[in-house]
Amino acid sequence: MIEPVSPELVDWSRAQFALTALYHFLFVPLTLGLSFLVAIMETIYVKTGSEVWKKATKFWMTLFAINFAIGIATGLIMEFEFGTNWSNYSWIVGDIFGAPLAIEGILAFFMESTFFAVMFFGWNKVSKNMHLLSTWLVAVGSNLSALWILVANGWMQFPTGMYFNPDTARHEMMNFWDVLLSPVAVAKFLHTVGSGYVISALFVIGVSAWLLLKGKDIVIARRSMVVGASFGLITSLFLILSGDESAYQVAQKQPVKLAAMEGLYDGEKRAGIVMAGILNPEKVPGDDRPTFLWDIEIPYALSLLGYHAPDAFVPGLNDLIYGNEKHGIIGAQVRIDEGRKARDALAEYKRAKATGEEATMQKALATFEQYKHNLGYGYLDKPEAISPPVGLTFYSFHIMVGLGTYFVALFLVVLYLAMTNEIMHYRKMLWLTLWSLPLGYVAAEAGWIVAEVGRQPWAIQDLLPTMKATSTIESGMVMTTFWLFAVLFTTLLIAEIKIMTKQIAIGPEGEN
Amino acid sequence: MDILSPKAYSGQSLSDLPAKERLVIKTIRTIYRFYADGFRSMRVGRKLWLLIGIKLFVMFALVKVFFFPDFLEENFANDDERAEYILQTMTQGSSHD
Repeated sequence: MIEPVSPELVDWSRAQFALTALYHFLFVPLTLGLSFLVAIMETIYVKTGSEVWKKATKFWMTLFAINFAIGIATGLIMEFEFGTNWSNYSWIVGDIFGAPLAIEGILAFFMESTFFAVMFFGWNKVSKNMHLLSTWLVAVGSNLSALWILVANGWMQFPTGMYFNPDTARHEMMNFWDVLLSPVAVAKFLHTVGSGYVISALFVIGVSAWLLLKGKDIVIARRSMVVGASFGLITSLFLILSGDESAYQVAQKQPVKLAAMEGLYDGEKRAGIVMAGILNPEKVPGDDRPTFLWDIEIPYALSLLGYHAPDAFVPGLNDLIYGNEKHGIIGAQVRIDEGRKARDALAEYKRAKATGEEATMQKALATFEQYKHNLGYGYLDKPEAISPPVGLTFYSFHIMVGLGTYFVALFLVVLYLAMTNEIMHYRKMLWLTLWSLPLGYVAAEAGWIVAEVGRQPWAIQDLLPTMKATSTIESGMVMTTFWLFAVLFTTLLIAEIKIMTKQIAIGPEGEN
Repeated sequence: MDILSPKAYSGQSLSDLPAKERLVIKTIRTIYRFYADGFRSMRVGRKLWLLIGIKLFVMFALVKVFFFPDFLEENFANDDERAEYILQTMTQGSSHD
């Protein structure tokens, strides 16, 4: 008999994973985007032969290296956690995750040990074009590396291309391309790397603003600002487009998450998006309390966003939890009942296999196949359990969207002022640009909260709830390692900020 | 000693080797020197490599070894036992449990 997992253990395991993932993603964005910005600057250097661009390239490359060195391997801790805290989950998804993560590991190793080295050690040792090629390959490689991780994450949000083997208790990959090209994985990849590009652009214009405020390396700072703001404007617009596609996919594949993102309890046609609002903290599914204490809504926008039709019905949490016959929405209780049938059939299959009852095995397997798409619901105790924490999801989503919109305006203004050589005269604008840098990280982390908290209670959407994904270990151990990581990551972050600010203070004319 | 320096081949000159072997050794030597010179010329990079070294040591020699054993590897002898355990977890609470 296996001991049931305590809610305390699940909470600590989740907290630890959230902590490591959020810290890890502080280092990832610059790897994704700054690599491209460096490659663009080096391309201009190779084309023009200008020493200014060479110095600019080397300066940003050094900052890229600092971020890369400090962030390297922080993601590995999540893999440790999979084996220790999330062993059920790791086993169940092992076959799906094996291929993408192996490709990621091999790719990262070869790209980083070869082209990364040429990029840093190759000045004056390889030809200009070879060096430039290496820089571009580092950028492409870093992004490809992210692709495989995000494909794995996309599969958890929308499991596809697999078959659950009831003998091994594992999902086995049936179609690699279905996993790789799943619309959720593609949207997730584009939106996540897009956020990395925008943060990198904010980093470049923010640091350049600081140099201009200090009157240091003005030519390099101004040129960097033009490149950073141009890149930022293009990528922030791309981020809005990829965000639109992500929201569309969420509406189709994870409607409960969309309802939580918008604080929508009762579904409606021509549903609007809440531009700003404060949720009623006492509101729970099924009650009659108002959802918002106050809010400003953009009419039709949610129907357009989620279904690309202004008249579309967008289901709310109450529709998805309790069902809505008029709109053909099945309530969670029906799915819970079906999930329990799938679980019982799996148990019956296991028992019949042990006793060699072939006919019973086949019958149980047929029942399991019929209901397995709702297997995860069988572990939930009540329909309301399908709802994620609405407040955290709602506010995180609105912070992300609000900041994303602000960044477009910021890049536009900075680009205009930088191109007209006016930016030096707008010191308040320079300060605003500098202090907008941390906001990029806030937006990205908020985005991850939407993606991961918003899909609770699921570790694998509809198939495996988080509480069934954890290992039966001591919660005290998880608590200890939570604090250990909190200290380790905070130390690394302080080290990064110290080394980075020191290097920025030295400036492009200093050491490389 | 630089293992790729000519001194490493005591009693045998590189030019005595067959062309194919000579090319391989030359290539390895070039790559080795590329990295060695690169590391030697770094300034901020040295600090970073030290940091990477300490971090990897803490992660793999301490954190992984003492705090993150693989639960299924440690508690079960083979994949059949692991699958059986997971199935038991997944069917817990069923009418056949």
